[in-house]
Amino acid sequence: MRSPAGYVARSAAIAVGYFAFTELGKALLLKGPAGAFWPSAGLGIAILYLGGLRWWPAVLLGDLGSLASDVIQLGVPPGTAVAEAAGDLARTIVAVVILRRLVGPGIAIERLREVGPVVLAVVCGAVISATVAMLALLAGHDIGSAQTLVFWRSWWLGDVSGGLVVLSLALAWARGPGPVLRQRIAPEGAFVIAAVVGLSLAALSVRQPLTYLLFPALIWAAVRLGPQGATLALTIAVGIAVWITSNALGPFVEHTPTENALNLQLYITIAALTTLCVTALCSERRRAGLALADSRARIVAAADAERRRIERDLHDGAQQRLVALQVRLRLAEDIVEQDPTTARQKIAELRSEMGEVLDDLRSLAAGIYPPDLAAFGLAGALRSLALRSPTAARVEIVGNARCRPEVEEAVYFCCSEALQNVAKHARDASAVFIWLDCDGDVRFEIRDNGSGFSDDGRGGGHGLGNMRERIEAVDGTLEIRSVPGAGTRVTGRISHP
Amino acid sequence: MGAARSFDSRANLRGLWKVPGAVPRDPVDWERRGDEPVSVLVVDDQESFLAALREVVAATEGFELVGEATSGERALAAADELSPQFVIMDKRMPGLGGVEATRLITSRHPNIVVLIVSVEDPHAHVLRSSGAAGFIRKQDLSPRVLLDLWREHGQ
Repeated sequence: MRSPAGYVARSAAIAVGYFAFTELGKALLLKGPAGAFWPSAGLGIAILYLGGLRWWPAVLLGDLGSLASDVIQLGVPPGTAVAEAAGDLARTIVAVVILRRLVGPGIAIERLREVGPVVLAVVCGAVISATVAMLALLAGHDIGSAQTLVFWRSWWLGDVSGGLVVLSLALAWARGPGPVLRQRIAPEGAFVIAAVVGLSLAALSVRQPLTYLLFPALIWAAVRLGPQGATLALTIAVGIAVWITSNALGPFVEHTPTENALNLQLYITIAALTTLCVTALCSERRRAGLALADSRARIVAAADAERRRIERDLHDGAQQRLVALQVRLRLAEDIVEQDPTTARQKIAELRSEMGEVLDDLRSLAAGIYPPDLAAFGLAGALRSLALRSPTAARVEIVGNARCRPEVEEAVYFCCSEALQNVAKHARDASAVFIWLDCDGDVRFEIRDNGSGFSDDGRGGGHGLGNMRERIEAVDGTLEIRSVPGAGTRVTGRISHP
Repeated sequence: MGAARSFDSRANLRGLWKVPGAVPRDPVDWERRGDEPVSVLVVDDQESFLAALREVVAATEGFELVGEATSGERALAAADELSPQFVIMDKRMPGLGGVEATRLITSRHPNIVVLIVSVEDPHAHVLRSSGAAGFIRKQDLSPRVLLDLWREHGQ
C-alpha cells in the first residue's frame, strides 16, 4: 500500500488502534497505583520498529487523541499535553533507532544479545519521555520541585515496565505463531498458562507479599514455551496484577500511592526482565542444539559419502584391476605347458600391471589420509600438496609447530579442497598462494587469481560448506571471500591448536 | 544384413566399438551355423577388465569377439546392431546397470545367452529376475566357464 491514500488510511487505522488501546487501558485497568504502568509506551515502539519510522504521524496522532481526552476529562493543560506527546514521540523514535542500530530488523527475543538492546531502548526512551513530561509539568506548575524526582521515577518506571511487556510480546509474535509454541502449546503450554493464572491470583489476592510465587511459572514458560509462550505468560501475569491492583486489592494497595506504584512497577519490571533473559537464553541454547544436530547430521552424511567414494574408487580401480590380473594369470597358467614363451611374456606384462595397481592403491590411501601429514606435519604436507597441484602453487609457512592431529587434518583438508576447487572451477587461475602461520594460533590462507564467483560472504556450495564444517569442528573459523574477476580467498583461524 | 552394416556409421558412438574384422550377424539368423564361431559381446565400464574379457574370449575355442560396450545402454544398442550369440555383462555399471540391461536384452532377444559377471558373490534372485543364463564372480571367469555355459544354454 504505497499510495498516499493507502498511507493515510493505514495511518488512521494505526492512530485509532493506538488511541483505543490507550483509552481502554485507562478505562478498564489503569486505575489507582495501576495507572503508573504504561503499556502504550511499548505499543508505540513496536509499531514503528515493526512497521517502519514512516508511521510516526499515526502514533503521534493516536497519542494526541488520548492526551486530548486527558485535557477534557482531567483538566490537563493543553500545552502540557502537547509537550507530553512530543516527549512520547521522541521516546518512541529514539528506542526504535537504538534497536535498529544495535540489532537491526527481525528481533524475536530469541537471543540474549537481542534482550540487552530491547531493555536499553526502552530505558533510554523512557528517560526522554519522563524528562520532557517532568519539565512540562514543572513549567505549568502542576508539580512542585519537591515532587520532581518521585514524578520522574514513576513516569520512567511506568514507561519501562509497560514498554518491556508490550514490546517483547509484539516482537515475539510479529512473525505469527512459531513452531516451538505450536508443538508444545498442548497440553504443556495450556498447563503452564493455567499455572501462571492460578499462581498470579493466589499471590496477588492476599495482602501478604507473596508475589515471588509467580516466578517459577514464568521461568517454566520461558524455559519450555519459547519467546511466544513466555511473553504471553508474562502479559497474562502482568494483566492480572494490574487488574487486581486497579480493583484496590492485593499487596500493591497497602502503602502510600507512591510506594504502591513503585512496588507494582518493580514487580512488573523484574518479572519482565527475568522472563525475557531466561527465554532468550533457552531459545539460544535450543537453536544451538538444533544447529549442532544439523551439523552432526551433515558430518555423518559427509562421512558416509566419503566411505561410498572410497568403496567406489576401490571397486572401479584396484579391485577391477586385481580381478582382471587374476583372470589373465589363469589364462597364462593354461598355456604355460603348450606355449611357455608366450606364457612368460604374459606373466611379465602382468607383473608390470601389478605395479600399476599398487600405485593406484597408494594414491587412494593418500587420499584417505595423506602420509605426508603424519610424517612431516602440516608444513611438509602442504608443500607436498602444492607440488602436486595442477595450478602453480606457492607456499609460505611461518613456524613449524605441530598441532593436534585433528587440527592438522582439518587445515590440510581445507587447503586440498581449495586447490581442487581452483583446478575445477577457476581454470583461468594461473597461480595459487598458500600461507600458513602455526606459531600460536593456526592461521592460514589460500588465494588464487582466477575469475572468482559471486558470494555473500558466507560462501555457498557443498564443498565450501564441508570446508567450513571441518574447521568449525575444531573450534576454528573459516571465511570465504570471492569477487567476480578478482579471485577467491579462503582464510581460516584455529585457536588453541 | 543391412541393419548390421549400418553399425559402421554408428561405430563412433563412444564406448561401443566393433571389433575389426568381425562380421555382424543377421538379427534373424542368430543360430550358429556349422563351424561359425560363437559371436560374443563384452560389456564392462572398466577398461582394465574389458582387456581381460578380450583375452578370455580370444582364448576360448570357437568364440569370437564381435563388440564391446561400456554401459548398459550401449550394450542394448550393440545387441540390436550386432546380434551376438553370447554376452558377458558386468553387473555394476553407472546408469542402466548390468541386471536391467540383461533383462531388456533377453526380453528382446530370448536366444542370446547372457553371462553376468561381478566381483560380488552371485545372487540367485539376480539370475532369475534378469533372464541371464549364468552369474559368476569375475575372478572365476575362464574359457572353460564360457564353453560350459554355451554348451548348456546356447546350442
